[in-house]
Amino acid sequence: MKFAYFPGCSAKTTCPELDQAMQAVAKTMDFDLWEIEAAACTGARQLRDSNEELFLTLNARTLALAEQLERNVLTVCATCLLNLTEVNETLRRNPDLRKKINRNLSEVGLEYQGSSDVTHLLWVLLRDIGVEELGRRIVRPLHGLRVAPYYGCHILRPKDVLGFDDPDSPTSLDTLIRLLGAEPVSYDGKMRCCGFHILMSKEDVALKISGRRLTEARDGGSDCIVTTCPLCHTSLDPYQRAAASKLGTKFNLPIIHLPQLLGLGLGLDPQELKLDGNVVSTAPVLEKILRSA
Amino acid sequence: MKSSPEFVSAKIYRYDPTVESSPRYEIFEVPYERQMRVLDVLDYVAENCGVGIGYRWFCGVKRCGMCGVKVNGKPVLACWEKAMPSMVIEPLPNMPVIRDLVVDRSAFERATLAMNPCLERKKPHEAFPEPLTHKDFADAFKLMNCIECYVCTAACPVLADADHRDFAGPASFVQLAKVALHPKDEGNRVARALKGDIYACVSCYQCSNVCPVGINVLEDAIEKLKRQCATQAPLNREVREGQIFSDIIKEFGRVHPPTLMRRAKGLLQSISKFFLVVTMYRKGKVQRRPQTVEGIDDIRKLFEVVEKSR
Repeated sequence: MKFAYFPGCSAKTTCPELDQAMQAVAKTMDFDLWEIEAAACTGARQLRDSNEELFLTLNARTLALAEQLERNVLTVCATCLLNLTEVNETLRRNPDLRKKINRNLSEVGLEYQGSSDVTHLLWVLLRDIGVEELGRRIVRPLHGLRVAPYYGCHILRPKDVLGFDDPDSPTSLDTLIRLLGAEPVSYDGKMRCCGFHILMSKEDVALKISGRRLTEARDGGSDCIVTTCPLCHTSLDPYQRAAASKLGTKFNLPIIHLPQLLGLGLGLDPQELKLDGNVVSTAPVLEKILRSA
Repeated sequence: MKSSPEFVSAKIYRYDPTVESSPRYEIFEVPYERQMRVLDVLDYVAENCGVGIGYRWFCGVKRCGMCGVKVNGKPVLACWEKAMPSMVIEPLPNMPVIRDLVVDRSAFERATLAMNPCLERKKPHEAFPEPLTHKDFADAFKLMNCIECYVCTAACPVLADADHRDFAGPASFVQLAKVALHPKDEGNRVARALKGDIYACVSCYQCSNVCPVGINVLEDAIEKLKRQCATQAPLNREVREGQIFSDIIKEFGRVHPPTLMRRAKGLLQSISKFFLVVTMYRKGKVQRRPQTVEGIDDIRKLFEVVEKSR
């Protein structure tokens, strides 16, 4: 499978372990990843909140770069997934707007056509590869591990743009966890917010939200949480201590990126997946897996 | 073909705060009828089960916005939600319970009133008729379907998880945006949006997800209000932080969190993050210097092109 790989800012700065794990998994799964190195940030929420034309133009440029490679875009960040998908759908639907954005892009010698799709690792695994084929590739079942699936927001909502999973009771990540031999933990907040998008401007509010997610997962008896987005990961992992002290409690929940968990199931070495790069120690998880293996 | 259940099981929240110290749940078995709605289930219980269950409704056809309840964890309108074989029916969250499923929405209704959601004009248009095209009107028109049911406000995590009561809630922002985006309105809407703490919105799309009339609350109301804030209130702290974010993309193509933090929060506040930064640095999560992406010249050029066209 060939993809134009768009890791996003987070996987290149605050979550390098995500990028490394994705590359390691890609090698094992025979994904041919061509990173769009010239791509700009998708603008998180800030760009679209302030300047719509700039938001459309910069993301149309990224999509045009993928179109030059004649590949679909693969991302590991849910917010990037939403931004790129939304720009793609908006410009595909609206020829006048596309003309206007293409006038901007012509200044840098590019043209957006709308020929590449945007996808996320989770979607590729379940939609393109499929449960059966993926099941055959699992060589190290994660028996006995209780994993809290954390979907977050921008891989589920808005449903009319993304449409892969049910935003009220999603199942895709649960399915994947089961496929890996682990046990998905059922808890209320798996499709609710992590607070990341106001973490800088209103940290107090954001920490109360992420703290609630951590509490729910901990009280459900989870060994760890698996995330589909590095922004959620940042809220839950490096900021876990801050959230705990905000709530006057203690957490010790390893937060694992989707390709890290998948890589373990594929039999990859924890070092290749940079599991020592997460802030909350992942050692208890590894111990449990290796003990049951 | 799925066969219909003979009965639906409704576990209903019961609470009278004037006499009871805590809420309880009662389970009712209600005979299923074709195309049964949650409201029909509540009606059946009230009329046939001998309990004076408290719930509120008026029109029964998704117009009055009075029958909001939480069904299996999701805020919905009882008149428009189909009955499920097994349901937990609770009052809307984020609002005090008056009795059973009836909540007191007055705090959020006051927040809506504070937005003054009617057209404000300095003087009447001089000639008649006043020109107004569909295109001018399109953004405001989308929001006129709002029935003020406050189901979106009930779904908001800023209120539910953080209990951040400075936040006016999505429903009030829909009412504000309805006039702010109206071509005839001349009020200072940005000030009201900021007073309602619009930048506490976490952009989670729960409001859009639950809206019974299909308004994309986040994108068509909140985000558009924020765009007005960005142009009309450049000195506001959150607007400035957004601008710094954008400037960093222009400079490096990609966000460099330490630079963002330092420029947005200043050195003093950044120092308060010392232990977090050290922890992250040890894990390889902090790069000392921002790296510039390959296509930076093109990215900067596009910033300028868009700037010029504005």
